[in-house]
Amino acid sequence: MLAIHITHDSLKFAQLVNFKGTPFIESLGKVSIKEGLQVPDMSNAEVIVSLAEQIAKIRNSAEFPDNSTHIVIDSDWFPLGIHRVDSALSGADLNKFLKWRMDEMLESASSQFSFVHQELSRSADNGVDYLTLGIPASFDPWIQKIFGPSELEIKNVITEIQAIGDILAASGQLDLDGGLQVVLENRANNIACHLYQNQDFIGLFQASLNWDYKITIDHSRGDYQLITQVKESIERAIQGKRDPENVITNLFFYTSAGDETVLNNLQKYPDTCKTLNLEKHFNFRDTEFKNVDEYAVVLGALSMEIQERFHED
Amino acid sequence: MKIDLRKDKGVLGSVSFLISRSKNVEPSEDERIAETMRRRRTAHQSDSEDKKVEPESTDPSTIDPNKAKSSNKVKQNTGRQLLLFVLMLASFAYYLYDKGDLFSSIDTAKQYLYELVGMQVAVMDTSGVDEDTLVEEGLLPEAVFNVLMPVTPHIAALADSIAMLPAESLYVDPTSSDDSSEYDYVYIPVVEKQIELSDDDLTIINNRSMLLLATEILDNYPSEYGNGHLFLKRDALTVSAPRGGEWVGQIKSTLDKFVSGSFNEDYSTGNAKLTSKFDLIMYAEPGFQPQILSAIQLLDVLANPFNDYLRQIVIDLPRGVEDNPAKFAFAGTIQEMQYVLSSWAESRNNIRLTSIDVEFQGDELTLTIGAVFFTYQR
Repeated sequence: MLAIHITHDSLKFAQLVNFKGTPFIESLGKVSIKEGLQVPDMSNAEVIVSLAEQIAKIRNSAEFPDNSTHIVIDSDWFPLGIHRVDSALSGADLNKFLKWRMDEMLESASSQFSFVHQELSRSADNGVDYLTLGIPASFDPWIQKIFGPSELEIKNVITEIQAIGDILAASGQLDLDGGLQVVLENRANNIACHLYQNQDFIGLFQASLNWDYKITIDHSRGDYQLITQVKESIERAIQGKRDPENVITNLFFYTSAGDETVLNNLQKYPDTCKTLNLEKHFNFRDTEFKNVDEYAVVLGALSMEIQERFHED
Repeated sequence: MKIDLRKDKGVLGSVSFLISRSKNVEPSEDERIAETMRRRRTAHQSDSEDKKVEPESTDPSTIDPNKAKSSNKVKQNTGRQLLLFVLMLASFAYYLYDKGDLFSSIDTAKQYLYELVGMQVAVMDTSGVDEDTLVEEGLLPEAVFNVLMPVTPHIAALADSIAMLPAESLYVDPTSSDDSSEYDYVYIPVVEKQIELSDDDLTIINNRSMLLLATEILDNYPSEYGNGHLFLKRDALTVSAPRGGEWVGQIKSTLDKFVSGSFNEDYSTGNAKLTSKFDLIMYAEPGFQPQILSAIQLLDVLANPFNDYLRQIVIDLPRGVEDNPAKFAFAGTIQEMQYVLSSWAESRNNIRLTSIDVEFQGDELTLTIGAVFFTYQR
């Protein structure tokens, strides 16, 4: 059982094995991919070949012929919107309304996508939040092209939003009391933040990290006012300053080759900041795996499998 | 939230994380095979490793940190003990070595170990083996087999390659062998590496066939009949002689060895005239390697050794090997000309023979070889 996470600059993977009825993470790793992926492009033949080659390498490095695979793709490869909808709307009208919002967002390109809308559990007096993802018409053939040569059996394809939510739930760290939780990934010169509340996704942003540890938001989805509050709380945490107006109940952080000082400062910050600490929540064949949290997304993708196979009760 | 990017469309209701849509998922056949293989591989691993795994299997998601700490301590202690044990073992081995008893002690220990695990089965003399250690069909019980032949990666790969072979290739007809021993043999066909030949390689190989054909025809030709003529091209041959005879049949048999095509005899002019249109039969050589030379080097190889017989070379030397036609004339006895032809046959150079012309004048003959020097391309 493999999980492969396609990001802009690397493919991360984890292999889950059933060892005498116990789930074990047999291997974790990442391979870099060409710079062409800095801009998500599903029609670029060079990118397809490069991805197919790297996926074949990953498949061949897996020791046993267990080919079922969970795929995770970063949500910024897709048009994504979070819209508040009047709770009176339902059925076909709801669908039409959400599609109209995406048509407004994408204009003429809208015809190239099919849409899936999911209700988010965050409740408000003035309506219900829906997350809408646009799936390109070329998505299925693209997946076939990059995974076909490896003969991997694709079980499901999800975004990192879901995988991170799953890992919080699987590691028992998802706040059941409705608190606002943030998972911060410290990437090279950037940070990526996913926001969760009421046991559901609520927003995300990617930001540049400036020399003075101020954050400039490059891309965000969800309630912008809330995102701004979260950004300011993170800025203070990174600078090691106490924040009387902190809205975050838990700030989980991990690094993917980012500035280590950021993490050091967060580690000194009060209890609401902590690492995901996933090594405690999985059985690893190799106990020397370093920076396991960096693989939160692939481990999250596998946690659903673990839930289904090993903890049905 | 729960969206499958390939399967989901339209409006979906709210779903919490880690809520499964498909309960009671049965492992696929692939997964079952994979787990079996893992178990088999780890079967030979130490019990201590198993013991390490099993307590964790109760609930991998909730590991008690105190337990983890104590297991760390145990690990450290075990490490120290292991180190001490290795040091003691090394000292003891050195002591035995110093006394000259090391190897005999190892043999004794090995013998003891064999006895302990019932390894007498491994000895070729099976008379001492209890009958119940063999199953009905004469196969070893799996436990004994696994001791004798643990599945290493090499053995697994060999088994895979045998499994992939067609059944016929493994069949050995017991009646076809004179060997009366009772052992069965499994023949694994060795797949020869396929040689990829270019057009230029084929040209060079066919040169050889043509030269060997000419060499043999010189043997067949009845020099005692007087003047005659042989003209050989890559696809045709003419031999004329004062009269026919037994030699005609010999030439026909020689042709059958090297070419496939027509064979005509014409005696209408009072002389014997044999003609043939043909395709050369290619005799590909295992490990064929052409020898690619410049024009000067070719002359050195093709003419220099035969200076005694060489009469003339016609060539435009500055043209090098750019499809450069050349003509070589030699004269000598049949044996001398056969020597020239067979030496050329072994040279395998970048030349294309266009014709071989032989004028028979009793025991003396003139050999003219037309060739084109070419630039070899792989």
